[in-house]
Amino acid sequence: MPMMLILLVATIALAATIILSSALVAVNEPAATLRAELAGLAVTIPSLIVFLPSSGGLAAATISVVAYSIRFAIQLSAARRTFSRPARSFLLLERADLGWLLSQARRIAPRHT
Amino acid sequence: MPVSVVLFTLAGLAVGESRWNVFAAARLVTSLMSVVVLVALAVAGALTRRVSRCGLPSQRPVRQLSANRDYARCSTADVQPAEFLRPQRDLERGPGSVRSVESPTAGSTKSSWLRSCPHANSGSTPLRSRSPRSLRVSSKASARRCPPSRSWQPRLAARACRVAVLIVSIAAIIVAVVTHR
Repeated sequence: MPMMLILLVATIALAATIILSSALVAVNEPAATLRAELAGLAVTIPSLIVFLPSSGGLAAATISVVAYSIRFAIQLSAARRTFSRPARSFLLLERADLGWLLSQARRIAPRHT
Repeated sequence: MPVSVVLFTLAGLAVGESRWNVFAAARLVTSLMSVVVLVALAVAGALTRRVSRCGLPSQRPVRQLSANRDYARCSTADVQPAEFLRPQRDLERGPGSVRSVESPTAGSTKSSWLRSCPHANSGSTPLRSRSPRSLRVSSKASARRCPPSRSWQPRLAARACRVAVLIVSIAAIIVAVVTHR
């Protein structure tokens, strides 16, 4: 079960990474995504070789969190530069976001009812 | 998504899994990740639609200046978008302004007519009063109005990221609570 909790934390970093990756590719900055992926691989492969035999799944989950976080940090840095916005604007929720989310939900809801 | 959660739960019960809610929780997370991927694709689509108006993926918009014309053309030259996105000398009016657009010339493309807002570097495009095709064949100057929005691309990317983090965080908390019950 701790493994699942660790992976849940990893999921948050992964979700943000997926969004930023798509956004950067869309504005002709795929190199940032490539760098992030390579960095993630550079951490994941050696770490798995070293820690997996001794610690098993728990090590794999922890390594995933670390790798996803590194990917996210690199993508966030690239997004900050590309979009000229502070890092916190990609992370901290604003009051307007909730209104936007609700309006999007209302817009989609009638189509499915 | 809810259907898949229910199906997964039933599958867990069918195989006699006592911790069936773990199946549902895991499926919920993967379903939510699918939603996040869809949102990411939508964001990418929205950004790309406004950014890449040249015919080929390898083409980039290039600013071309001459004595009496200021327009863009699509080229295969490896030019960074920033080069195109320099402020135009005759487009210093604010958002919402109406400006006259010169007629197209040889080398210009339909896309060039969509890239003449003073704040083009923030992704906004002129509101077209006519179709690009008619603009291409017309030799008359036409007027178009620039939209008031200025920097929707960074805002969209940042908002998508924030909302994705919010949704997945909530899902993660729900899953953690459900599985620890």
